[in-house]
Amino acid sequence: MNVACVFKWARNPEDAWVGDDGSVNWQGAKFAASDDDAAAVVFARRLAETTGGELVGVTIGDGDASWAMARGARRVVRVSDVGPSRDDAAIAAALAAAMRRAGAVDVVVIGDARDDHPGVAAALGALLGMPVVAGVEEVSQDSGRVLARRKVGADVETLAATPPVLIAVAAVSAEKDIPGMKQLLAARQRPIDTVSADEAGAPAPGADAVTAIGSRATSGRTAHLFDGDAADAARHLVAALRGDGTL
Amino acid sequence: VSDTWVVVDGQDEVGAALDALGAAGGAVTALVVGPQDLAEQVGRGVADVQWIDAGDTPTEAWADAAAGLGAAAAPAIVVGATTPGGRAILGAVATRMSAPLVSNVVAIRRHDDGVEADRLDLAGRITETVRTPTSVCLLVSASDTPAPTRDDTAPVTPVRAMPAAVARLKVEPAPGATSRITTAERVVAVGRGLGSKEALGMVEQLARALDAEIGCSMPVAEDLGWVPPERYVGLSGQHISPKLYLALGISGAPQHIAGIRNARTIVAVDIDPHAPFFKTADYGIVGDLHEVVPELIRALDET
Repeated sequence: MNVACVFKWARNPEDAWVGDDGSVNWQGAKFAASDDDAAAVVFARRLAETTGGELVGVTIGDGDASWAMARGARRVVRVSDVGPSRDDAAIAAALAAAMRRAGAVDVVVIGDARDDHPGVAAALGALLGMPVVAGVEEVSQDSGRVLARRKVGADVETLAATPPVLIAVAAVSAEKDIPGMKQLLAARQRPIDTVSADEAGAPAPGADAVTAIGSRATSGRTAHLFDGDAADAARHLVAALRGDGTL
Repeated sequence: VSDTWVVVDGQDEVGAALDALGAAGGAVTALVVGPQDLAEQVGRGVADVQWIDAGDTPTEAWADAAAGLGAAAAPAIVVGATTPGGRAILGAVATRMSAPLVSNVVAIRRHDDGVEADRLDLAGRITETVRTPTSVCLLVSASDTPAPTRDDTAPVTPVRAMPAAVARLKVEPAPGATSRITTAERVVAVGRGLGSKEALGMVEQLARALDAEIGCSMPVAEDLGWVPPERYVGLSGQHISPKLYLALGISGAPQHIAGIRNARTIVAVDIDPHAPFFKTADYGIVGDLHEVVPELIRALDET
């Protein structure tokens, strides 16, 4: 199976500084790999290796594109001038343009991103004409079919999909086998096919149909902090929990 | 058929979708992918139901067919839940309609020039209001809103469709599905800030004093192995809704918070005053948990 791994297509929410008024400062943060990206590339590589196929990395934006090559991708395609978007369909359209540039593949593996951009994988699959299986924690193959295991409520289900298919992987741990310096340096020697959105046929940068007209810090919980030494703080906390009926 | 569609493939979703729509909904058409009783249940809260009988085939296999149905009606607003199936259908509908797809939506309003929506961003740290002048697909955040209970049910129209080549091979109980942490009223959870496995002893003592179960963050289970993996709480771990969640030495990364969104009272103890958990918790103590935990045990012992 020829496999594409889609990676680094959004910024890490933890890189944003949020003011008390809800203002956001990204402090120059670039597109970054998430835990889901790291889990996705592991399964993508395994699928390609066990079936004798090629692994190609696909990315957009300004992140370090050699990331996937240090993790097994033979080549990477990047559409460079794509910025962040609130529209998951617009992100998917840019990724789909990069995918077309990468050539035909049997399986696309992408980080699930269900907390931040849960629609991207689905829209990308639709744009590529592939069914989408999301929330997947483990990927394997059997006789040409892709097997996807995922948790659904109190159960684990195993789905089988005949390629072409897009699998969205949700990490169950942080990245474990982080490449060493040797792999990182070797990856940086390999060529990256970097093209503009215009060259790739992606939507023009900044052409989003979704406009933000305001933001505020999400109301609700901001901790009431108990000061003093540990004994005082603990005593006041227990009293508060008893007072509000929690205990 | 109305200009507002709701996509449903599970019992828990229609309430959240209709709640987010509020007055923007009007007469809603539901597109249900699932069993007939789900279609009839959904019919108690909408004007009409288009129903694809999914049988034992996963929702994703019906996404393209469902999208064709939805897109043909060209609704102004299409709403779905952030489940794997809901996402697959909404992604396909958005693609067919060349419509934007906005996620983590909590409220929807009609605007003179289109649709306005409030959405959670940055792991819920901000609520952002966005506007789109076109037809739009919206993935709503989960909520506890109950399903509609109107006495009469809207007409349910069966729709014939062909699924894609995705099949469900087997379903088995998840490891740890029977773990008592999933039903516990009180949970004491530890993070890397615990420092060592040996320190678990005092945490177990605190848990006994609170009649609580022990949980943990992902690294404590997956990387350090201090707590069994079925007890880790977070986006890809257990999603729990205890009356009390007491986090010890956990910074409060979005992946962890995702597992306790429905907890009633959250308490964070961390040595870092800037730990994100303090912006999510109800109560907090900035301090060394090794000093705070024994004092908590002592305070709980006092009548």
